[in-house]
Amino acid sequence: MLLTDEPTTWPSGPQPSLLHVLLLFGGVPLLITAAIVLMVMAPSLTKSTRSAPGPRSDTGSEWFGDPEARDRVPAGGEQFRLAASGRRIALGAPLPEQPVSARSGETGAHAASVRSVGATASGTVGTGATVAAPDQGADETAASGQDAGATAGGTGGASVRW
Amino acid sequence: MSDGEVFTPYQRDEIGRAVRDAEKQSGRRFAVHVGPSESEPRQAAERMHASLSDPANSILIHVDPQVRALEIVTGATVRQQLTNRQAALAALSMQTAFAAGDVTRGVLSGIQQLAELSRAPVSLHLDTP
Repeated sequence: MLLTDEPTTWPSGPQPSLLHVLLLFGGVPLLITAAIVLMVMAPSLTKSTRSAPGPRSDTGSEWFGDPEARDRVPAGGEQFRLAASGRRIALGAPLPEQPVSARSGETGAHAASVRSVGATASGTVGTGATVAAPDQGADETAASGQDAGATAGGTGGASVRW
Repeated sequence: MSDGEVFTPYQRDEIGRAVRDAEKQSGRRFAVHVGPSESEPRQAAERMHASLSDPANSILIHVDPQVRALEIVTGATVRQQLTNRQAALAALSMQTAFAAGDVTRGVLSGIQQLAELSRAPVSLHLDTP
């Protein structure tokens, strides 16, 4: 008797069929593998079929976050703004409307218009600060008269044109 | 991405996740609209901001790629923490990405900056039990 032989004391039961062996050693690993793959891929599959957050329209508009935004006229406030053109920055003074269009075709690395807007209930108040810096002025920047004249209850923020 | 869509599904997921993270981080409500303005961009943005569920505690980012306009509107409560200058700084960094043609990166950058800047400072005396 060789050492690797089956012990003689073991009961000799019926030999399993080839189909049973194949199912046991092939089918079970395949099932486990399929389950793991499914668990890994499930999140990406659900993401790809999920719609965008918030309402979307066919006009190329995309909403993220609060989906309840609808057209409603806000409580108005008088706007004031601060503008800078190239090297000059004027703080707090009410200024005329800045041009909306970007001027990328002009000289300079980029053309932009920036302003931040503060709403106020009591009118416009400017601090009158002006900063000058030497530069060629294709860029146009307007930042806001910020909180100088803004009062509680108004909206704030910033505007940029590029 | 079809003709009428601004973002790919992946980009949309990224921005949606950024909005949720920003709201969790700052305690503010964030809304992002990318699309054409119905009127002058600032007015349109303020109108959209006013229609949010909690305007005073909300920050709206409105991007109009057609007229190359970016508007950030902050509510009254948000303004106590996030000044207009800080909003303008965030807008400038967004503008850099927009000028390079990367709207997604610009929006993501703006959301992250505004979330950090609008977060109310934690007071050990008041905010810990």
